[in-house]
Amino acid sequence: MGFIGDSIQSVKSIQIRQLLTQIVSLGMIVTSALIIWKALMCVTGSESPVVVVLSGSMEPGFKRGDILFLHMSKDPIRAGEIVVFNIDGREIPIVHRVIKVHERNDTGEVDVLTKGDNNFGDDRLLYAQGQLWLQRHHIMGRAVGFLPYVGWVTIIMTEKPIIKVSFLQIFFL
Amino acid sequence: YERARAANAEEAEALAALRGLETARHLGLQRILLLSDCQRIVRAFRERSEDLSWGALTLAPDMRAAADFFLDFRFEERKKERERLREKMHSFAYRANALLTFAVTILAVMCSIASLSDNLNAPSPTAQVQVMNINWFQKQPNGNDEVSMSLDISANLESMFTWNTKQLQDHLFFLNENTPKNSDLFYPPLFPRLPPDSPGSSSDGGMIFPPYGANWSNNHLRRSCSVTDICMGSDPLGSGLGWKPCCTLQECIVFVFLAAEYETPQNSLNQVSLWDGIIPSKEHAKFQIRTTNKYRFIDQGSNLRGKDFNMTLHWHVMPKTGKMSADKIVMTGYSFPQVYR
Repeated sequence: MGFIGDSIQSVKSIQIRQLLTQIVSLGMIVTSALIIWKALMCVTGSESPVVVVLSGSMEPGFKRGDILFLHMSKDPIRAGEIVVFNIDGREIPIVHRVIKVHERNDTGEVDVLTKGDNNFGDDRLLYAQGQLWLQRHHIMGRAVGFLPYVGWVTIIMTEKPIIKVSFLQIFFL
Repeated sequence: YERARAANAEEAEALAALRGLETARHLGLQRILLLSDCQRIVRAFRERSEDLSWGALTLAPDMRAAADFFLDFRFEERKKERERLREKMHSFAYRANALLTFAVTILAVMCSIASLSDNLNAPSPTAQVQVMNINWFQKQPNGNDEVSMSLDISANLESMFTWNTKQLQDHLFFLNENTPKNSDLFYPPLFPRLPPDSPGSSSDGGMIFPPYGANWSNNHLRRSCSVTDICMGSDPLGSGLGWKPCCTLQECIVFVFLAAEYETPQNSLNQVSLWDGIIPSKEHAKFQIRTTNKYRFIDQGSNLRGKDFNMTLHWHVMPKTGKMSADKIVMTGYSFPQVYR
């Protein structure tokens, strides 16, 4: 009958509109997060401006689950700075402190040795086979500030994907 | 309409409305506000549509006729029951969201206040390093020199953890040049005189009060952060903001290390960390230890014989939240022996 079709139509249109609104707002949240991330990358000059501390090798200063803000500038690397570096062959960047610096006179290149505050020995065991020093191109940035505990969200969502899925489900409901 | 039957819910709604209007007329009421949650009836009434295909709409002319009797008649829509419940739920969600956002904002503001520098507190640590003994000094098979030494390190970093009230008085006295020295601490003048000063290196004394515009120096004051430091950045971390964290409002952990710095023909700078330690709180800020070098002191090459070097004590302040900062004391006058031992 005419009015049954009409009423079904009206009910469906309300729900579709709300669903579309939710999808659009979710999309806007995601894209604004992406915009902020890219802007931070530009401002700080490093590939990943925010990292989460994954291990306890820098305790008691940085505990697992802390977030570090990185900044990369052209300033020379000096002893005592906390740097984030990538080792060839390892995908996860490491956050440790510089303990030795040898800077060349002619080229300005630098040999750097790092060590985690809470570790007993230096990082030569972590470096690639036969590598004794880090160079500037290994280093992604210096840690300039940090927030405690906030990184646990990322750790939990990465290590227990179930939580990520259920979180998204709750959001959609 | 009492005996009329409704074929569906909308007709029942329209009939109920008509009955209500009749009753109101009998009661002699003049001003009527009729609320219905049936959108279509309200719209049909308003638009005066002549489309009578839909059952309830046949009653629309009757409703208009009944409405004409009243002085002021309004027929408006009222949200459905479940929609109102949904809105209530939503408003709870919105309120919870607003509360959470507010709480997080307050937390962020407190963190940033705690991590801002207290510009009136200029840390002035002291340190002394003595090389008690050169245990051995050899050339490795790979051609690099290596040395092992025993050190006596004593330092006092307590000024980083506390307000120094004597310093505060000195600072504020400078502002208040016309008042006697024991004036009230918290009585600064509104318009301090400021001789323009060239933006100096960080060894220049400077102060911020008020925080914008003013930049003057007083060589009697110990070193503190100045506007030029903040704006043009003279901090070793190179981030452009020379704020030093405030360890009086929050807990900080200070990482201290002693490095030997020297120059060689091949390298413009060599820094080798010899010892490090962690100061977790103010109680441990004053210490003295005797130790051999924790990390092997190996040169790149064989340049150490007779070489002069500096001992620098670095400290890195890591506050609970906020920006980290670092500084150092340079002690000169150390040198290696001329021959291997």
